[in-house]
Amino acid sequence: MRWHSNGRKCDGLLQHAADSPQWKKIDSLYLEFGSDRINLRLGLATDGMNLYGNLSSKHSSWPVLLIIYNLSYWLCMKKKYIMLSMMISGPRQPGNDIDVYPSPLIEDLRLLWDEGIEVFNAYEKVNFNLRVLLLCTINNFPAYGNLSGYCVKGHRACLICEENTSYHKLKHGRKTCYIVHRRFLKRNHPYLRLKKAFNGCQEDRTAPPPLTGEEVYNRVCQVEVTYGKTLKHSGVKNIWKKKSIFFELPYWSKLDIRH
Amino acid sequence: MEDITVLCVKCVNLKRLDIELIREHVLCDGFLKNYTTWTWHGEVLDLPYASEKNKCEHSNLYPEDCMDDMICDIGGESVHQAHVFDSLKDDSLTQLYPGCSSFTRLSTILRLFNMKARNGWTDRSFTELLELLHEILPQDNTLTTSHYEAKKILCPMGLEYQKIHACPNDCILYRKEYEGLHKCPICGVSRYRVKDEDEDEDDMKKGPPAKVLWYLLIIPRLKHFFCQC
Repeated sequence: MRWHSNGRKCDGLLQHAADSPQWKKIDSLYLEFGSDRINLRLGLATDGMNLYGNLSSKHSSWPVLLIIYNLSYWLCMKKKYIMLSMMISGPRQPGNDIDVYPSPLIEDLRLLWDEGIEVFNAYEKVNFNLRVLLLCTINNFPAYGNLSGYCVKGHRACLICEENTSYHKLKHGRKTCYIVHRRFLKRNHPYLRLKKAFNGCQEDRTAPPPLTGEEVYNRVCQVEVTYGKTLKHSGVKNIWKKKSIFFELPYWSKLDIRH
Repeated sequence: MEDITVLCVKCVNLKRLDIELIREHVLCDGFLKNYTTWTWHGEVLDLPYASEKNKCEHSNLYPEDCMDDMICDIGGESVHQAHVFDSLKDDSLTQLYPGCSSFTRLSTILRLFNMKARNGWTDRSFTELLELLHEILPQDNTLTTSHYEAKKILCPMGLEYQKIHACPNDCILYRKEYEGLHKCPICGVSRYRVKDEDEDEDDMKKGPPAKVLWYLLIIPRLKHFFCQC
């Protein structure tokens, strides 16, 4: 449990979530939490899954898994240490309404952050107060859209550029493609100078900085939403569809990446 | 005088010589240092016996040997459910049938459940098997005769979970202020699976739920986790 501070090799390379800037930011922001190395940092992973294989192509259940990042990198992704915390049964995927379901989990996480729980540690034979932080969520892009409430389709699919997403609609296929996104490459990348292979001009713009948690919170806090499949959505179009339930965790808007 | 093998550094137990000559060799060249078990001079090698080895594997294979530890672990966690712990302890002490020394009631059920899970037996086939075993075993055996009862014995070992009903249209979870409702307050769809549209009101208030959220409580799980490591 304390591997991330004691047993780890620190050579400046990214080996584990503990090497990430977010981990260090938490340590500096929440000194009390960061000083006790046994406090847990979890990752939350979710995705749709079909229980019936190819017998029923429509079914979609959503397991929600928790990953303990305090463990070493060769343990934390093992089957034995990944906890299934929730199972949202099908037959249809919850989509944007997925926020209805994790509410008991978020309540528990809130309790574990605010007060902590008294836990007996069998290794050191002492009782201690355990606090837990949700470090990140792990999901694919469509599931990220469901969890965060950002619209990941159409002309504004890029969650960094938002309104300024540069897209190109193919004339005959009518598909949207994002060819100008080579500006996210390194400044000296050869693709930036290619003309013919892309849209006919060289790319000289730099990548915009990603949104911080507070900025996202400000955009999102006004959005009103009622969950449910049967309801007709209001005519107002917004690229942020909801205030994600994770913002109920007090530290969520302080994190660099919320996915 | 009897010849024995030479244990000096140069000869390394290869020659057989007279005892006087050996003394000379040892004094001149020095004693063979890593020669601690005197196998060339009649000492028996201290190898582990094959039967003992088998015994070790045996105890690793069958989990009932650590049954006491397991029950102890569970007892530490569910002190508030003392009766559950007591019944589990009873089951672990009850013999499968009078005179049976190798199996207790709990260990039998545990092994059978392991096989059931591994091979994907259906609940019904498991019940039939239990009934058959009950007949095969001597009278006064304590084996349960149905899957349901067997499951009840093991229930304190399982994970703690809640089954929270949900609206099939993802409007709400039936918890807190919505707990007692039978219809979704937002979309008006029944909480339960509806077979016929023209059912009367009372029938709408029972039956299997339309959509269930399984929530495996994380707080007891984390407590368990730290109890073990």
